[in-house]
Parts: sequence; structure tokens; C-alpha cells
Amino acid sequence: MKKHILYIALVLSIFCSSAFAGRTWFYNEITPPQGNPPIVPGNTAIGMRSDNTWPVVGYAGPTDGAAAMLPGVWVPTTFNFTGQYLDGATAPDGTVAFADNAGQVVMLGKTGWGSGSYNGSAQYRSSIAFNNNSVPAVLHRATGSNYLTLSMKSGSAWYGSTIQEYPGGPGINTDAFALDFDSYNQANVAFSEGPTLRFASKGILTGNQWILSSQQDAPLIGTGQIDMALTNNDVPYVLYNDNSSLKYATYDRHTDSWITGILDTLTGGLPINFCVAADDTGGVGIAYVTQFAGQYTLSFAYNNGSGWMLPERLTTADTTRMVGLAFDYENNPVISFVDYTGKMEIAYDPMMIPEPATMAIFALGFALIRRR
Amino acid sequence: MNRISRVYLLCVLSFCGVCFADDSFTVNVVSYGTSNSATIAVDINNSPVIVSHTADYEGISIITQTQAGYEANGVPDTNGGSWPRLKFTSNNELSLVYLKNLNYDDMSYELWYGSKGSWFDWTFSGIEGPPPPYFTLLRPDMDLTSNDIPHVVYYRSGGSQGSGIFHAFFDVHSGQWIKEKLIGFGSGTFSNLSIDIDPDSKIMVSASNTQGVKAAVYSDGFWNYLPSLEAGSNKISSGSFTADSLPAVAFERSGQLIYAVYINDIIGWVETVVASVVTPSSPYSIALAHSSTNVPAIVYVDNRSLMYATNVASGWTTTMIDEVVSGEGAKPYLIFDHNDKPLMVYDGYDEYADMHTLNIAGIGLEGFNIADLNNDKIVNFSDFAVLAEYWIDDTCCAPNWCKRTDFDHSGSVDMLDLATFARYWLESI
Repeated sequence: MKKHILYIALVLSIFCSSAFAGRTWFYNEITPPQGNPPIVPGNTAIGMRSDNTWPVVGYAGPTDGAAAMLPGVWVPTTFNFTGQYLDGATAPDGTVAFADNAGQVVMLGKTGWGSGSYNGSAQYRSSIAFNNNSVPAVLHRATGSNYLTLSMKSGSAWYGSTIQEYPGGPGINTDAFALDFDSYNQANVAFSEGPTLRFASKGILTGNQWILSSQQDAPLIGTGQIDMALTNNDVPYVLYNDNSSLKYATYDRHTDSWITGILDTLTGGLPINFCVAADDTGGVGIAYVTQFAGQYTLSFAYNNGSGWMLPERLTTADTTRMVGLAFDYENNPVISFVDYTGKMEIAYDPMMIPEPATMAIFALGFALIRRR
Repeated sequence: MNRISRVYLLCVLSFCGVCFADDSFTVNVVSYGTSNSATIAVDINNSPVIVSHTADYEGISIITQTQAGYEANGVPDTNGGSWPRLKFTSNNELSLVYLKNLNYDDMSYELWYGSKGSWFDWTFSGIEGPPPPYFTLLRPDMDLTSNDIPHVVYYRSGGSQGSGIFHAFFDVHSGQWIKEKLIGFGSGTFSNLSIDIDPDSKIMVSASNTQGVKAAVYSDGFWNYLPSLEAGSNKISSGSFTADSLPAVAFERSGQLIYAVYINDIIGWVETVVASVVTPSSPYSIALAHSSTNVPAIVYVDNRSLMYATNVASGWTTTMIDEVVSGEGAKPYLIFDHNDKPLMVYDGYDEYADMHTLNIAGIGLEGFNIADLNNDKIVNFSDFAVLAEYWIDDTCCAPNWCKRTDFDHSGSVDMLDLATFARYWLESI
């Protein structure tokens, strides 16, 4: 009997350990209701409304800009973005918002869709996030400016504060900044200045002033696109592409230093598109398109807080389109992307199942128990 | 302020509360000529919203109360619709389940789901059907999980899985409705289907058939079928979770209205007698709900009286709400609003006009007289002038219905409407 219990405990522990788990991905094409014009795909971003259950996908289409899933049907809005690059975010109250690179924001909340402008001038790629009170904030940079602006919505207006470049330094790179809020409701910004990663925080612990990380200790991350998410225990994960690999940088509080590592080797040229998001368990995931086995492939990598799992290869995808990533209420990843045939889809992972090798161990164990 | 002063002030305030608290029901006639299984929900602003279908199966209507009275708006593409059930999602979107029968000569119903928010038009998805000729779909009920996943129960007769109760929910992962037969209920004809979902997504389904009242609870991935309860010959019942998530049912047995709560698998059902009743002849006349403070409330028909029973610390108390038509049941549907006030819709009957009515009743409900056409709180010649303006107008339609003078929504203002108007002559609110 003790062996039975031991075996069951082993099985349960393996089932519960995401380190041994694989995923089963579902694909759901984003098509409009019957009789409506087809959705023309563009760059995508994703958020999960209503307690992180119902996906809402933003896309830079020519006539519409976002579609919400309802039972049995995707419903597009008539709002269309002027900009081509999108970022998405989900608020604690279930609101979903998207920001483009032309100063526009569209949100789906309890009163329906709303749109507005966080800044009227042309922008580089912006980054949107909600604070813990479900207030939207957009980090952006106007063309020709040498500083970042964090715009937060208050009532019907947006109010900004700026992060200046390092005096006499190489300057903040375009499209290379990202925003997220921590558990203290502070704004945290990652950006690259020259080849260096910089990190800024503003909130209750900084006296409501921007505090920037030191340049001496910062890792070199190149000048390309970055994205960032904070885990639920405030560990930042900055993803960046240094033209040879997809890499990450995370801050280790024990050693007070940044740690970097390679997440995936990129072959067959660039660009790639990637999106990073955190779940409620301390984990962080990244969805990206890269070349694998000679084909552009949607991939997903996950770090449960103790290390990265091997990237999963999902399906062929359009490498020129941005992907979106969010986690649902059960902390399963949901990815928006454009597939290789030009169809816009979401990839959904509703369950984790053990890999075949692990299943074989279960079977062996079960057989041994039965023999006794 | 010293302690005695505070106690005195509290006593005075509570005495005022006793004096001025109005716990009586207000009854409003919503429309004439409309009947059959209307249901009610409250939106994010605590405003009641009724869903009903017209007696001639022209479609489903959403009815809201405006300053000018009750306004009905048809849900598009619901011709042949019946048995509607309505809920609001956490995003204040309408969530609707209904049956659709496009061939009035047989029972080939389809089961549909519709939703609408302020930001998009109605969208629909088929849950089941159209069924083959050898089975039919009946009596759906619907509830939402806290994350707005719709769950539906319905009775299906015939088919490869046999007759019985089926459960369907929308799976956001696959984008499809997942359906299963609740095999523990067994086969046979069931009525009075109820579904209730608690904040932890625990699901309760109850129904009754010739073997009594049955209930099942879904939790942790499994359906737990509870022991059957012996019921009276009419097998009427209604089920709902208590506020602390215990399954509860109300049903009739041998001339008594019974309320039963399932405590656990060891103790089982614990029953209390709510009231003695004259056995109703219709199987659709009990509705059970619980307030957020765990007060159970039951609406039922006793002979020709629509009664409200509730249990506070002193035990069950009953209140008569309205007279209803004998023999056909009132088909009440009961909820508690966001302020924990009971609110119900039911089929009423205007004996004077000899017409069915759709009625709403609730504590704290704003009074409204359907014949007060100019909203001055009294039915007099000013209202008659409005009626005269539309006399024999045959172009009346939703939502205005000729400034509400077409009381029975027949499309024209005629003698029946005049008879209805006369019924309320000189009445004031």
C-alpha cells in the first residue's frame, strides 16, 4: 500500500510540475459574423476581458481594429487604428485596451468600446499597461523627441510625465521601451539607451519621482526592440533581440545585478516579433515568431520562476506580423498571430498534459503496481 | 457623545427605520396580451430588464422601464422564439437563451444563445438543433459563471442518447458549445428545470418528473447526483443555491409547500414546511431564490393567489402579492436585485378586460399605471385624449406602440384597448 501511495504521490507531483509538462494547443480563427465583411489581418495584440476569460484581439486592419470573442462568434469594432504597431493590456477590472504608434487608444470596458488619443503626434512603438486601479497608462515617444513620456488617463484627459535621456549619452533608442506596473502600483520602464539596458521606476517607493538604474551595472542588450513584464512578485523580465538571438535580462535581487541569457537562437534572418506577459503564479511567457526547421514558426517559451522550459513550436506563422500574448484566468497562455496563409488566429492552451516520456513512466509504474 | 446618548440615538434611528421602511410589494402591469414564461434580470445600474415572448410567437422582446413607462424592443431574428432566459454579464452585456420553433406544427425546436452589449449588435449562436423529427428540446434555463461563461440546461426527448436533461456550456478554448447528458437524472419527461451557479463556479441543476424532485451539483470536475425527493402529483419544483452554496429546492407535496436544503452526504436533505397550499393544477408555479444574506424566498400560487414566502429569524412568513388566473399558473420568475430586494415577473390576469397580462412586482419598485399615458400619476381625460389621438390607428409597433395606447400590442388601437383603459379610469398611483 505504501508503494501505491508513493507512486500516486510521484504521479501527482509530476502532473503538477510544469517543468515536465507539454501543452495541447487549440487554434481559433478570428472571423466576423456571417454577412459581415472579412477581417483583414494586421499586426496583432491581445487582452483578456471579464476575469481574463474572453479574448479581445487588436489588429491594425484597414477598416476595423479590434474584435471581441462572444459565444460562437467574433465581433469586430468599426474603430480602426491609424498606426500600424499595437500593444495590448488587460486591467484588473476586466477592461482591455490597445494602443497604437499614432497616439490612439481603444478600450473595451463595462460601458462598451471607447477610443481616445493619448498624444496626437506621431509615435514610435508605444507600450500600454494598467495600474492596479485599472487606470490605463501608455509609454510613448514622439518622433523627433529625445525623451519618453508616460501618459496616464484621469477622467477624460491624459496626463504625462517624462523620462529624459542620459545627458551627453547615446540617446534612447526608437521602439525600444516597455512599461509595466508592480505590486506597489509603481510604473516601471525598461528601455535601451545606446546598447545599454536602463530601468526606471516611479511611485510610492521612489517619492513619486523617476529613479533610474545605474548605467555602470546595466547589461548590454543592443539597440533593437524590447518588451518587458513584471512577474507577480515584481521580478522584471526584459526580452530583447540582439540580431543573433532572442535573449532575456532579469534582475536578481540576491546579487543586486542583472542576469542575461539566451532564450532562442535565431536562424535564417530577422526580423522576429515577440510579446512577453506574466501570469499569476510567478511565471512569465513569451510568444514569438522565428525560423525553425526552415519555416517561420510561432513559438512559445515559459519560465515558471525557476528557469526557462524549452521553447514549444506551435505552427507556421507570418513573421512580418506582431504577435500578442496574454494569460487567461487559469493562467494558460493565449496567443494572437497571423498564420502563414494570412488568417488571423488565436492559439489557446487549455490544459497541460505530460509529455510522452513522462506518460511512459506512468504506464510503467502502473504496470509494476498491478503485477504486485 | 456618551454611550447612553449613542444607544438612544441608535434606538431612535432604528425606530424611524421601522416606521418608514416600506416592505410592501408594488405590482405593475407591464403589458396586455403577453404571457408565457417571462424572466427578469437587473443590469449594472440595478434597473430591471424583462425578457418575454409574444403570445403569437412573433419573437422575443426586451422590456425596460423608462420614464414614459415600460418600453419593449424586439430582439431581431427571433421569430418563433419562446421560453427566454436572461442574465447580465459582468460587463453589463445581455445574455439570452431561448427556444426557436419555425415550424409551428411540430415540436422541432432549436436552442439558441444571443448576446448584446452597448457596443455591438445582437449576435447569436446555435446551441442545439434543429433536431431531427424524432426528438425535441424544451424548458431551458441558463446561468453565468463569475467569468461570464454561459451554462444551459434543457430537456431533450428522443435522439440516440435517449430522453433526459442535457447541460451545455460555451468553451472559449475551442469556440464551441460543449454538450453532455446528465445521466444521473435518468430518462423520462422532466419539467421545472433550474440551473444556478455560485461564485466558485459550482453548478446546481434541479428538475422534477414522475419520480419526484431531483438535483445534481457539479464541482471539482464531477456531477454529484443528490438523493431524490418525493414530491406531489404535480411535481412542481424550483432549485437554487443558498448564499453559502448549499443546494436547495422548493416543491409541493400533499398540499404543502416544502423547502429543502441538502446539508451534506451524511445528513442529506433537511426539509421545512413553508405553507399549506391548494394543490395547483399547473406545473409552472414555484420560483425559489436566495438573497445575498441567505434569506430564502419562494413565490408560488395558492389557488388564485400569487404568494410570497420568506424565512427570516422568526420562521416562514407569507404575503399575498396579486390575484392570478386560476388553473393556468402564473409562471413566476424570482430574483433578488443588487440591493437584495425581491423582484419578480409573472403572468397576471385582468378579469375586467378578460386578458392575460405580464406583471412585475417588487419591494421598492417604482409604481406605474399602464393607462397613465401622460405620466401625471392619474388616469383621467388627459390620458383619454392621448388614446383618442390614436383611435383605430393600425400602424402601431414597437417600441412606442402608438404612445403606449395599443396596450395589447395588437398593432391597432381598438375596443380591447379602450376596455383596458376603462379598467383603470380615475385610478391614481
